[in-house]
Amino acid sequence: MMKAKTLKIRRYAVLASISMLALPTVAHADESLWIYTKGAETLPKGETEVKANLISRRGKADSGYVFNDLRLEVERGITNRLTVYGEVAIFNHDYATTNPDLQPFFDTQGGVGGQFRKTQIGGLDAGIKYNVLSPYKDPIGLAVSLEWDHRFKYRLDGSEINQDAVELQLHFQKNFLNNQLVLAFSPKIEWEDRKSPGIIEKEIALDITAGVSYRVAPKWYVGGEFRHQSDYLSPLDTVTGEYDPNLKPSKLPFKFGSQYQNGNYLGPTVHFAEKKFWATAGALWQISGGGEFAFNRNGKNVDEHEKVHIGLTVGLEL
Amino acid sequence: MDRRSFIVALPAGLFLSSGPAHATMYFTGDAVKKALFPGATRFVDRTVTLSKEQMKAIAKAAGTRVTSAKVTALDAFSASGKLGTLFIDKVYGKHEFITYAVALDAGGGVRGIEIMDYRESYGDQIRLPKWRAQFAGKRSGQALRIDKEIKNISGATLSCVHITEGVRRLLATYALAL
Repeated sequence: MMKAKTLKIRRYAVLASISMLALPTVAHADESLWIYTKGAETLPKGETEVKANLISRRGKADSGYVFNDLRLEVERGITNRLTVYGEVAIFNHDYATTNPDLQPFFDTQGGVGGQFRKTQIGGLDAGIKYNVLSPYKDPIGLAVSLEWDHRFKYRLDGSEINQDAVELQLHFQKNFLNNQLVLAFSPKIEWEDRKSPGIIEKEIALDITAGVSYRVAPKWYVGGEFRHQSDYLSPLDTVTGEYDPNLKPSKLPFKFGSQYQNGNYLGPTVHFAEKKFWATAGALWQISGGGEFAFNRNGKNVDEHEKVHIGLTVGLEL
Repeated sequence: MDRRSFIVALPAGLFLSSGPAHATMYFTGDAVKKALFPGATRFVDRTVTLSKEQMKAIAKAAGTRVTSAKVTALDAFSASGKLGTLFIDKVYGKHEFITYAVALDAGGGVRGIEIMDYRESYGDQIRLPKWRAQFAGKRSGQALRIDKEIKNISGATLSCVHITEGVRRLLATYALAL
């Protein structure tokens, strides 16, 4: 009985933790050279940009998994240093697993022979980004962003949740060679408060990205990107009032609990820009991953993380 | 078209469509000659190809990179003699080149600057006369720095920095190679 309860808690924890993977593709407050990494620039005062960001996450423990995470975003330059933005998250699921241990996918699809296909509005985000130091005239560029996210759907199985998250991110950017070579580093910490049936989770998550890109020709940048994502939590069973005995809970804001899972990604990116339009594409493969309670295979996490993320972002200056 | 084909086709399409830029051309070569040297009756080509040693010396004097050995320059004359020298140059914008012209008087001081074309989404405030006027009278060897002698325009920082570096480089070129 105890084992079944623990498994149930773990199942919800896995389910809940997977949902946070929808968060890293938060709104960009500027033209981005990468899929996840964001530089230190902001929109000029009075300028408006609309953006569509699609990241297709593919492959888990078996190959039949696709999650398309689409963000539609509007940004506005309030001053030359301050950008505000808002976005809607649209989730598209398409998976069919034959592995009954890969939960909650297996149950959600209806068990053996089942399949889950659904498109849904997953949540809303809003944030601000403030440029502190310019990458063009200061020794290093720096911006700070603060974002609030609300999710009412799990990115994983489409069930209803009630999740609020606050994200604080730093954006470092250093340019070289007459600003033709751009390096960026964007560490982010997320505080999440998530409620799902029978479970409450107070989670701290880290999302650390870095990118390098070089202008190979007018309008074209080619580069690469790294991303680390991990989360720290212990799910609280609202019936028993107990945490998972195997996991140390996080205490917000800075006391990290047990690391539940982690994943590291690496891959190429390409960026193109016209005067009023730009696009960035990239593919990041998981190079390592793990987690004590995660479904790991060959040193990679293959339940909460995916084998590859393929991204395409298109921006339009209004 | 399936999803995979679309992902492959989009970058390819962008590449193929990235030929001629949608430039905002403000001055042609002839127009900028008239704008910066309205009294000139003739121009004499002074275009030079810098040696590696000259490029190094100019980079050191200007404190900025010299990426092209070719320098396009013309001496402007009126009936009474030499009026000055006109440079037509380009610097990096965020995505494309910014083409601009710098006119020096006969003594080597900046007489005027014009932005000839600008293709970026933001930053064309560098065309404002008040911003360009800050360079008037500057000579090789004088300090010419953003946020110091040259005020930056917030929202156009990259363009301000690169034009300032470009003028510094041309002043050093005039002093060392022409």
